[in-house]
Amino acid sequence: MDILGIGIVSPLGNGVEAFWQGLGGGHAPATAEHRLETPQGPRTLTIFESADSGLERFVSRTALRRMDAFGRWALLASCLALEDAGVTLDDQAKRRTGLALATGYGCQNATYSFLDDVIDHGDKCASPSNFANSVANALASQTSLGLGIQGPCQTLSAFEQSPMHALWCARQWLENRAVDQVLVGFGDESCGLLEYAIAATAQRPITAGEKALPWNEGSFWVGTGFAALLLGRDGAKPGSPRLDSLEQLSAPPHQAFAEHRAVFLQVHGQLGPGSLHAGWSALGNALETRPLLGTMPTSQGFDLAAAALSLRHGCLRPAPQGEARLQPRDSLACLQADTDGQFHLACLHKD
Amino acid sequence: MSALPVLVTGMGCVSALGRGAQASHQRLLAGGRAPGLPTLFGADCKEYGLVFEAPAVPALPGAGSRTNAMVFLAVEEALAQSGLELASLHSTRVGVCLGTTVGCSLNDEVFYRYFHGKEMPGADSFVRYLSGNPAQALARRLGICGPAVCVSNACASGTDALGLARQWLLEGLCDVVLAGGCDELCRMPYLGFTSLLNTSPEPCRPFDRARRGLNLGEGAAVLILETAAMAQARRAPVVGRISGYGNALDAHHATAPHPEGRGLKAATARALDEAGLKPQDIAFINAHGTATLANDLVEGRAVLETFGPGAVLVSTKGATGHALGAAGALEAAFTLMALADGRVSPTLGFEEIDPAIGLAPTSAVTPVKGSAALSNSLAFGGQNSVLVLQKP
Repeated sequence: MDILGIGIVSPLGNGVEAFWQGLGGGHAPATAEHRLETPQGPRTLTIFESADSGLERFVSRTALRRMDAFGRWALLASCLALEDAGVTLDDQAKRRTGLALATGYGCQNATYSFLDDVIDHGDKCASPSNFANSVANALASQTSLGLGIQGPCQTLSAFEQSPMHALWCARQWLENRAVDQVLVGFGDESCGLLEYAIAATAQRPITAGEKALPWNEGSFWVGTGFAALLLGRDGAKPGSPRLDSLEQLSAPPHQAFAEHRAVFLQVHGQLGPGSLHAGWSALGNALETRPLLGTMPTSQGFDLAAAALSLRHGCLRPAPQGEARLQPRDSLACLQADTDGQFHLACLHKD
Repeated sequence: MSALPVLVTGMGCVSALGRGAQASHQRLLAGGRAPGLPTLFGADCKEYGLVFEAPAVPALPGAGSRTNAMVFLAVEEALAQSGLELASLHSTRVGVCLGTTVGCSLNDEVFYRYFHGKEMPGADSFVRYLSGNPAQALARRLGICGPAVCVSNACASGTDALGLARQWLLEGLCDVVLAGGCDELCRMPYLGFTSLLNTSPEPCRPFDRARRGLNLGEGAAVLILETAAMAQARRAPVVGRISGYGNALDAHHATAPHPEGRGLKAATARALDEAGLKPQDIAFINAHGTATLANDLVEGRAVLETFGPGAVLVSTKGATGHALGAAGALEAAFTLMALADGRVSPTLGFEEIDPAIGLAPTSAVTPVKGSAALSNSLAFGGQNSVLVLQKP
C-alpha cells in the first residue's frame, strides 16, 4: 500500500513539518508532570500532551461545538493527511474512501465526563452528547461527518495489536477494490483515571523529570495524540513510501534487524518481553520514539509516520547518534511487541 | 462480483431467550417474552426503560466479566456443534473477532466513583480491564495465537465483526475464525439511551405505528467461520454461509440515521453484489428494527424501496431487546436458523402498520421462500452494516 499522505496531532506539534522538526530535535515535546497520590505513595507521571490547534483551518467553529477533544484530534489528523497528500474529496471520492481506526483505550474523557454528571448531579442528568462521544466509533463518526466520508468503516480495539488490525483492514478493502483509498487512524488520549491507574500499578516511586526510564517502565511516559495515514494501492503515487508487509508473529523477529536499515521499536509496558529490548537495542539500528512521544497502545501508528517521513526525506529520524542518510534501497520496519507475546511487524520502503 | 462463500460450522447463543442457539430459535417461534426493570443495577430515571436480561449467567473462572462469561458459554456451544478441535490446528491460523461496545471500555463505575471521590482505589479494576478485552481474553483461554480483535462500531459491532472475520478468511489470513458479538447490560448505556429519549417503558414494538423506543438487552453469539477448504477437509457440519457483506457510512449525524437511508442502501448493494444476488433472491430481512421512531422509519422505507412491498421483514429485538454489540451476531445466528428451518419468527410487539413506513413486518410464524436472507445493523456514527446469509 502506498502512503499517500500523513497527518499528525502529537506532542511534537501538528502536521508533518512540526513532527519532522521535532523528531530531529528541533524542539522539545509538550509535556507536563502530573503528581498523583496512590495507595503506594506519591507517583509522578510525565504526560506527553497533544492539542487540536489548526483544526479551524478545516472546520468551522460551529461544526466543532459538540465534538470533544479526542474527536477533534482524529478529524484534524485526517484533514492533515488529505492535505499532505494533496487530495480533496469530491462526491465520488467520499464514497470510495474507507475509514479504519485503531484505539487502545477508546474515548475515555467523554466516558468520564458522562459519569461525572451522573455522580455529581444524578442519573437524570446523564448527558446525551457525552454518551454519543463515549462510544469508540465516535472518532470515526466525527471524521466521517467532518469530511463527508461515506465508504466502509471499522473501529478496532485490541490494545497494542490495534494498529496492525487497522492496517490489515485497509489492505483488504484496497485489494478487493471496495475503496480507492483508506484513511487509517491511530490514537489514544489520557485522562485522570488512566493516569491514576498507571501510577497505582507502579512498582517504585516515579519522580518528576526522570528521563531515563528502563524498558519496562515506559508506560509511565503517557503518550497522547492521533496519527492518520492516507493509503492507496501499490503504485497509486509513484515515489511515495510503501507499506509492503504486515505480519503478526509468535516468535521474536530477530531477522528484521538484519534485513532493514532501522527498526522502530515499541517494546515497553510492565508485562512486556524486556530481555528482547536490551538485546535489540544493542544491535545499533533500533530506534525509539517514546522519549519524544511517550507511549500508548497505538504508538506503532506514530512510528509508521516517522518511518514514512524518514523515507520521504532520505534521512533517519529520530537519530540519537546523529542524523543518518538513507540509501535509495534502504527499507525500514516498525515492530510492536504486545503483552501476549506476539510481535507485529510492518515493513516499509520507498517505491 | 461474487466472492467465495465463507462457511458457518457452528453457532452458540446466550441472550434473554436463554442459552443455546436452537433453543433460542424455538423460543423465537413460540413467541414468548418477558422484559422487566433492570435487576443487575439500579437507576434513578424519570421513566424506566424495560430491559431483557439473560438468565443464569454463571461467573466463569477467568472470565473477569459477565460479557466474557457469556462469550465463553457461546463459544463452547459453537465449538461442540462444529466438532472443531482447536488443538488439531496451527494456532496462528485461527482468529478471534468479536464485536462489543462496553466489553473493551474502562467504564467500571464503582472504580471511577472512588477515584472521583478522591479516595484511592486499588488498581485491580484496571489490571482486570487490561486482560479483559473479550477477543483477547477468548484467544488466551483457548490458546489461539492468530489475530484477535474487538470491533467497536457501536450497535453494528457484531455484524461488522462477522464481516471482518469473513474478510480474514477470504484474504487467507486465517483458516478458521471464532466470530460474533457480546455485551452485558450495564448502567452507562442504560442511562445514555435514556438520556437520548430512546428507551421504552413498555415492551418494545418494532415497526409498529405506536412504537415508543427500544428495550436494551444483553448476550453473546459466536459463529465458527471456516474456509470451504478447511470445512471440507475435516468434513465439518455446515450450518450456513456468509456470502456477502457491506458496510457504509451515512456521514449525516452522530446518532441519527440518514433520512433517506443512504448508507444502508449502499451497504445493502455492496453485500448483494459480493454475494452475486439480486433483491428478488432475498427471502427475508432480519432488520435492525430497534423500535425507535427514527431507526424503524428509515430502515423500513429503505427496505421497501430496495425490496418492494412483498419484502418479508422481521425484527427479533422484540424477543431479545437490543443487545448492542451482541445484536448483529445474535441476529445472524437467528437468520441462519430460520433459513435452515424454513420458518421465520413473528416480530413480537408489532400490531399495527405505520403508514409512514408502508411495510409491515412478520406478525406470525412465516414460511421462508428462498435460500438467502439479509441481516441489517445500524449504529451511532452513521454506521450501516449488512450481511448476506445463505443455507448450506
